[in-house]
Amino acid sequence: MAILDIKLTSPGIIDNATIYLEDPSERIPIFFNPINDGEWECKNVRVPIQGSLELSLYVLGYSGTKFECEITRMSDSKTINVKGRTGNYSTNVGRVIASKNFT
Amino acid sequence: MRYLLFFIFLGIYTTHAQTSIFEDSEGESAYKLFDNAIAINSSAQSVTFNIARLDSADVFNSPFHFTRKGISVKINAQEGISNIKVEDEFTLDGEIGVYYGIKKTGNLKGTDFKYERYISGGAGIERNAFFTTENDSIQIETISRSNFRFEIGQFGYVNRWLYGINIKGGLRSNINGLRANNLITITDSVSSGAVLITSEQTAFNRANYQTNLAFINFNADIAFQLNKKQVSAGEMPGISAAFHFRYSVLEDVKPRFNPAVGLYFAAKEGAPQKIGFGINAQLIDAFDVQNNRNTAWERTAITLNAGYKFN
Repeated sequence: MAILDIKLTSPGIIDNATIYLEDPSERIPIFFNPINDGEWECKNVRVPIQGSLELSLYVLGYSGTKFECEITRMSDSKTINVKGRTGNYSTNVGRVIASKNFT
Repeated sequence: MRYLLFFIFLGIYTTHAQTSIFEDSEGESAYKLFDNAIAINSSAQSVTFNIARLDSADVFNSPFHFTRKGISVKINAQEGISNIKVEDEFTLDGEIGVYYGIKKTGNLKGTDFKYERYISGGAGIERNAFFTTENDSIQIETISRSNFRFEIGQFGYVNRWLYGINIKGGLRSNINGLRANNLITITDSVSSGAVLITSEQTAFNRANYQTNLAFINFNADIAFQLNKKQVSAGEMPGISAAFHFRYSVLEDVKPRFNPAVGLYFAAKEGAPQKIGFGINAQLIDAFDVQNNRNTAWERTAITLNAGYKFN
């Protein structure tokens, strides 16, 4: 079981965000909490991980808003980074689906 | 002829201001921006500082609701920065405002941003120089008066459309509609007709000044992002065209309709709502109900707005 800190940032305004981890059916969302309009976080997320981490990230923001997500594994401070832009899923939602290893 | 006090009356239209993303020449706006930022409005000659915090809404216990609390401080220099001070007294206006909003979003995998609804209030002090005439002499004094406002509204976006609507009311003076006058003191003259001017200042006519007038304004903003493809591809910042509906009612004054159109440019790529600067043209009193006997072009205000985010 890994403990993760997840941070979502944008030069623009993020209006909400959800991430699914190791959940191919995307049934159990992990919701972000706002620090401010351009910075959101999830802390102490516990996930059973074997090898790479599978994730689906959804970010709500006005069309064209850029965002970046950094996932940090607390045990060794290794990270996973993904980037995206709202508008590729629906006009105001950006989606990133990835399977990555911590580095 | 010495110590002759000579008046030259120059009319200069002055405005009062608020702050936001789509600000018109009078500082009115229905769409709100809540960065820790400094905003400058050229027509209203104002500088505004905003600080706001967005939090998860515990009261709703929902991942789709958030609350926002903010505070703003506005400084508005009548007649431009150079007239912040008249002799030994400051004529600067100031206002402190507070904001409370509730933001609601939808299911992130299916629907879009819902809205942000808010209430806001502010209290301010205005200080201006006034003159009175009595027995061929001119007396000048600085007068302070308080004002306050209360505002409710909603803003949000749907696809590429941004919108905002609000109603604002309160008590204020009629200083925005008064014309300032230049008062020039002449201490000497020569045979050729030249004069020596020893002092010059701007002041309003005390006889025309009214305070504690009730007002209510109805505002609506709608904007559309013009360059969606380039913004989505990360090629350039967003550019939006907007229309502003403005209807203002002030006690003892005929209501005015003051529509505006504008063009707004995002400060950087990847942040389409963060307006770096904008330009708009506003027709004050579109139907000329106040019969100022001037043309529509003379009643048109061109405003430049600029913002700087400091965190």
